[in-house]
Amino acid sequence: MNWHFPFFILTTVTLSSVYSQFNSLSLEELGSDTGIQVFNQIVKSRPHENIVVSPHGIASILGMLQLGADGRTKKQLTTVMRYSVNGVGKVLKKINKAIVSKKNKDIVTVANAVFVKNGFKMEVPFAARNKEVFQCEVQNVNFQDPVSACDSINFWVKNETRGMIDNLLSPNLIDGALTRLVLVNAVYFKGLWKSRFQPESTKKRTFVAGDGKPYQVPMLAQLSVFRSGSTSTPNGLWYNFIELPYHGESISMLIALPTESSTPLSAIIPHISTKTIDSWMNTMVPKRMQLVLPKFTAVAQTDLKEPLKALGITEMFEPSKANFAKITRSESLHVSHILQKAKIEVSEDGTKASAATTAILIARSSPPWFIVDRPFLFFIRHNPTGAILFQGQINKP
Amino acid sequence: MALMVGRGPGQREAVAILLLMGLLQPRTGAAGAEASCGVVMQPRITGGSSAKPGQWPWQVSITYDGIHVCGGSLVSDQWVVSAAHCFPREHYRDQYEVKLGAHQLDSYSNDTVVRTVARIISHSSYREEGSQGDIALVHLSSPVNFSRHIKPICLPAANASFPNGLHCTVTGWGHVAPSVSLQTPKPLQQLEVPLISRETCSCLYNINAVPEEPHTIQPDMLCAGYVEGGKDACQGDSGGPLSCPIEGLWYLAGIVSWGDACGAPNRPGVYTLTSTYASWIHHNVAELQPRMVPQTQESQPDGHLCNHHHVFNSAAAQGLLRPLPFLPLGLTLGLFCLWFEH
Repeated sequence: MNWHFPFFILTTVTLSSVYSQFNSLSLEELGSDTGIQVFNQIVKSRPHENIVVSPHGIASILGMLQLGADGRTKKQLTTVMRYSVNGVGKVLKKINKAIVSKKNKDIVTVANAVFVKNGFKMEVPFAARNKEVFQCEVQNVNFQDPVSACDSINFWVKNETRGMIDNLLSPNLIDGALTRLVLVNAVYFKGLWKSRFQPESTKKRTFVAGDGKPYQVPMLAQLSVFRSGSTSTPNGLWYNFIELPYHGESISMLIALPTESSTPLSAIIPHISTKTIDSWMNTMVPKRMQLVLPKFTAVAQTDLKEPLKALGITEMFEPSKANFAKITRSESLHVSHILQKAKIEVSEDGTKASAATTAILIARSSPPWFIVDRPFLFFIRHNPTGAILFQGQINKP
Repeated sequence: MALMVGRGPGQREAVAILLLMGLLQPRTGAAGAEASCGVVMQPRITGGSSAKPGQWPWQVSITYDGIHVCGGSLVSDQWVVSAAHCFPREHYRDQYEVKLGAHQLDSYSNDTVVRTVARIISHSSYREEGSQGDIALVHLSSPVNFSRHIKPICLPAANASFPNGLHCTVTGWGHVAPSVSLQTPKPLQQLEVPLISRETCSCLYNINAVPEEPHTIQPDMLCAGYVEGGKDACQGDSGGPLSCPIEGLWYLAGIVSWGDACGAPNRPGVYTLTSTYASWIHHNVAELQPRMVPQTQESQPDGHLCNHHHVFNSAAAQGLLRPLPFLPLGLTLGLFCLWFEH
């Protein structure tokens, strides 16, 4: 089955120039869009929690699954993702390389691995394509000893995420007799703000959390020139957004905040897709602004099974229906768990003192304020490709 | 005030003449205009603190779209002097309002009068923030009556000189520290600042300067503040007065304009030197007559403020360059299980 979507045209776009702008939705944006849809499903059931996911990570793991799937299992994946990895492998490979390129300056590491049971007979093209498109490595583990299998996977994860994520997997998720394969995707990002926040400006301020209660939390503050804008959902609810670039300038954090404190985040979330984010990028204008933003750390482990099912990816979880014939023909496989753990830290650190270094910042007129003192959404976007590396909702910093 | 007590028209005339004579009295020593400016009754208090109501009756608040953006100084019953950068080109004149006689910006008072803006005259040499010509004249939609809370300040004549070290006062409703707004009910703040010569100010701004972002103290600028930092005007104070007392009258020596951060060491506040624009003001608004400023003391050299013993290490003070990682990350995994078909 072939999927003829406009992005096939993109195979002719040279991605070696990572700063090229795509006119229509790029392939990566389609991928990240799937991740954003998954996010939208997750927050439906957890509207008052802090959620952090990696849409790009979700797209990667689904892409890896696609390479092993066949029949209706594959069809469901390609329908939701809107592309076939086999059809666009070369472009995906270039995108994946651009995302981790040293040109970013800020460090992005994407690590993918397949952990396979010792002696498991895996189809050669599956491993080869995964290595080629997703730079995925294959490692053997002994699942019959769940504790040591778990240890070696967690060790790999911890290593790839430079210590940020440990204990991803617990031994009870591994069935010594049945587990054949564990697929892992890790996204690590270390960036410094282009314009750092002055530690002296960090002060406790009131944040009205998702539960409606006020909390005193440390908030970063900076007077700087930020690109920002505002728009409304189709039913007329306004929200504002602002861009905070990282020092390499290819990656930015975007923050979206309902204009009225009475508008809940859940009212604007369904409106947001990579297309919406593109329109933000095109309409934002640079303006001298006083930004106030919570300093926070958020970590969330998310089970992606139910959100994926809600989007129509159901068969791969059903033992009697899942078809992963391209991983192995000798046994029937299905996905028992699909988990993501993401962590984010937002602090003052940046490469350059922000205070009043350019002409527009030294003037002493009062700038407009952008105060993030209530639940908000954030996105960490790799701008040359449009990849959404991270997305989150923060109800209480 | 005497006018308000019910009297016949004839008497009114007589009182008016008397009043005028009274006003002429302080003119001794200063040529030209009448001394209907720069007079306040209360003694002044110094050091970043809340002012008393009516203490700085020429201080106005300029709002854009209902939000305070700048200060300004009343110089006649229908004109306010402020900074050109408070009126960016893309703003609409009819969105501006001027609030006079205000003390607490957040609370309502009978003493307060609000006027819309009939005309804004920005100096043509003004290009961008930090450039020269940061001065603007604001014509109020209608004249205001002077009161205990609303009075004009004196405009200094072109040849006025304010000696280094003279203690002047800057006032405003601006931020109390970088990125920290004044707390409600927002009482007017005042701060006593000594004047610093332009040469010394340039010298200070050259300490730990970023070469690609030079800060030039232009000939139409005046500096005031503290080498060690800590006390300064800040965002929201722009356009407001730097009021200097000479022989019992207050003069608008400077207009809050810019500064590197607020209260940083070796970075005093920079003001537009009003006297530079005395003829420009008079040329644009004939009724505004800058006033001769009596020469009371000689300016003493203040170069010692910028010699190496006095210089404050701003890099150390700002705790620069200790970047720590910013670490978000995500991780996905899928677990595959074997399915035993029957």
